Amino acid sequence: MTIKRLLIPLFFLMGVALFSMIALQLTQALQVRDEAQRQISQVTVRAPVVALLDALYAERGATYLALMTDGPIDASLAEKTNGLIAQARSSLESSGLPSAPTGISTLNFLSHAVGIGRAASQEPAASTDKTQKASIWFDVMSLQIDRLGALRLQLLAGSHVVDQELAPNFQLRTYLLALLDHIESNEPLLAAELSNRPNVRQNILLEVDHNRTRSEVALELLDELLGSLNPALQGEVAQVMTSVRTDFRRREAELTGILRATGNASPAVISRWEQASAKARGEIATLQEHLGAFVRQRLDAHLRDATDSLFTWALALMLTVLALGTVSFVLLERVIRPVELMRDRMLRLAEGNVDIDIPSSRGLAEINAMMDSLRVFRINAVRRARLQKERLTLHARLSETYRLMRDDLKAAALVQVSLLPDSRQHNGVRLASFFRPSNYLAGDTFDFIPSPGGSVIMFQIDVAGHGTAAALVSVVSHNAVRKAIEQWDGVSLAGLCASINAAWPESLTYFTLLLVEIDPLAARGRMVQAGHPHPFLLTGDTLVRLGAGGLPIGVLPDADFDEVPFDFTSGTRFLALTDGVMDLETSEGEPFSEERLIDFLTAKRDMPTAALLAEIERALRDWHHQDTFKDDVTIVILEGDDKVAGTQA
Amino acid sequence: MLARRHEQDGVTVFEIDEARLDAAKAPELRQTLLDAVDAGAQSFVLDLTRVEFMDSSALGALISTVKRLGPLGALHIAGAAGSVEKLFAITRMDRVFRIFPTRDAAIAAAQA
Repeated sequence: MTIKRLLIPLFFLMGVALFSMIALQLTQALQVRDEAQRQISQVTVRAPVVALLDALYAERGATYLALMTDGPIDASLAEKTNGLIAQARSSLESSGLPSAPTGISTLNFLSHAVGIGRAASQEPAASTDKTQKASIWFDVMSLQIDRLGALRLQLLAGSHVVDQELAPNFQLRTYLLALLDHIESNEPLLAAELSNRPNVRQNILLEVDHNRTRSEVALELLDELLGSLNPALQGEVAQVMTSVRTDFRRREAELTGILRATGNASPAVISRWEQASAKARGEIATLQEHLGAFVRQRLDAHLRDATDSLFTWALALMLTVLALGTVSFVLLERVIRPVELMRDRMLRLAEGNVDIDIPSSRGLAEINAMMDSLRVFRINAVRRARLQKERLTLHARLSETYRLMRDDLKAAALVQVSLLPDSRQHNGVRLASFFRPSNYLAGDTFDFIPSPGGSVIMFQIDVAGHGTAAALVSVVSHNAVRKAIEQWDGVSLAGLCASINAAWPESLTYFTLLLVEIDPLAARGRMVQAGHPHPFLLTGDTLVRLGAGGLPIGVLPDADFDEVPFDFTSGTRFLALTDGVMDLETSEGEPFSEERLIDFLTAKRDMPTAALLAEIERALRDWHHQDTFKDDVTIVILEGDDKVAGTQA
Repeated sequence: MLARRHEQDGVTVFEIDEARLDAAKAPELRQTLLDAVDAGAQSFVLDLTRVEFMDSSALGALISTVKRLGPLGALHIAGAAGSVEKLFAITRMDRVFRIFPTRDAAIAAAQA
């Protein structure tokens, strides 16, 4: 999981959450604005509808009165009504309201119905029919007024409340219309009956009472509604209610009561009724205007608030986008990219690639510190790489030097081996050997030199230490011993050894020497042991360790040596060896030892010389468990054959 | 530290702490003893009680020490046993330095 893969989904989720929240707020603000606009449209459309309603009331009343009194019908009222129908239709068409088509149909039907009513009302008729014609006109118009009232309610359908304070106002309008309907209905009815005094029709008076009862219901509902109205409207509504209840209704009841009782009424009563009616109607109209203005004002305020909210949330959306973009950019440029860059560079450093660029960062302090650390890592890596390169170069030089030295050693080893005698024999004395330097060159050496008198001299040297220095000394000592033998008078082998010792430079390291002379003609041998391990004489079933030790060559310049004689008959084997044989150790450090060698030789004494040497080598390898020995190992066997005088005892 | 040096009864004693004195240890042994000689020691004891194996290189270090001591000096060997004793016997080292079975005997001889 990388920082980028962690942060991007988190930012995406955060962005989605923010955008969703803001989108929700935007949607809500848009809905409120649309609803406010719609309700403003409704108010705008309802204004001509209400005006049309007033016109219908006016035309209905005036025409009804004209019909009842045989008076002229005011054509201007019809024109006004028609004009308001056209205005209401036009307003509906341009409103875009869902209920507009239905409203237009209603208006068309209403226009048609009103037209038919007008036509019927203007047909000549007998005086007895005028009352019927007026009633029909009144009923037709009342029906259209009801239809228009229904249309007004239709226009409200589908509205949502954008302001709880406006909800009672719509009820208020309905109740005011009920009161107005009462006034507008009863006024022409009573006016017509007053003109027909004393033949007042009781059924009309009953209808007037019925209408008043309906307004009573409206007044009771207004009583309940009054408390929930806006305080600014409450006083005006209460005034209208008082005017209707205590003035108009009382005057109307007074008038109808007198008419019902007497069939007539005094001008004063009629005047009080007319004044109360005009006053109530005027106050209702004024209240309707105020109410319309109040509603429009509130809706305009809501529209403004919704529009402001819309702009506010749109601004919030832009700021959010800007903030998210800025934060994303900063995180990407100042954190994620530097971290990714550091990760990439560190991986490349880890892969050993130090040829990387680390750009300077002017970002966050922590990032800068990490960049600085990365530079330190790179510097260290460069230093390590340089050291590694130097080390590899040095190693290559060392390897080359080692190879050259090894080649030199191999060449020198060949030279050293070339100094050693092969399997030789002289006068029945055969030489066999096993020679294994510890590391190419050996401090061990030996030689086999026939003498003019028929005997044969073998010497074996072991220079202290091993390796190149010991090998060089062994070569020098080899030559020195060989030269001494060549110059020897053949009398005293111990004297020969003493002269070699005396001539050996004190500055050179000491060496051990075994000098052996075999006289095959006499079947005798003698030897001098100068610090060298004891040799062995294998004769038949007998194994004899020869010698009693002696100083090595180069320790004391005036040292003397002992000469040890022995019999050397046919089949006798003289075995000389260096201390590398006895000192060879196991991995636990246990030496092979002289005792173990004696046991081994005793057990293997019947084996032929070549096989015996091979068996010794195998035994040493088994003991040491390694191919290389820590010290030079040399074994030389001199064996007498049939040419050697004498026989084994 | 190959050899612990201390004074006992007025005699300088080098006590070898290694079980093996071979080519790997011989240069240090040689240098230690030659430094002592060069510092003026004429007679001291080398305690080999703990040494189980000695090769020709280490023997060469002892011989070099004796040569550096010259005819007036003396190297006293104490505690040689086993293969070390055999090495000394086969090389007749009793003719080069004085060999004693114990340290006390060597110190007593050095004091004489």
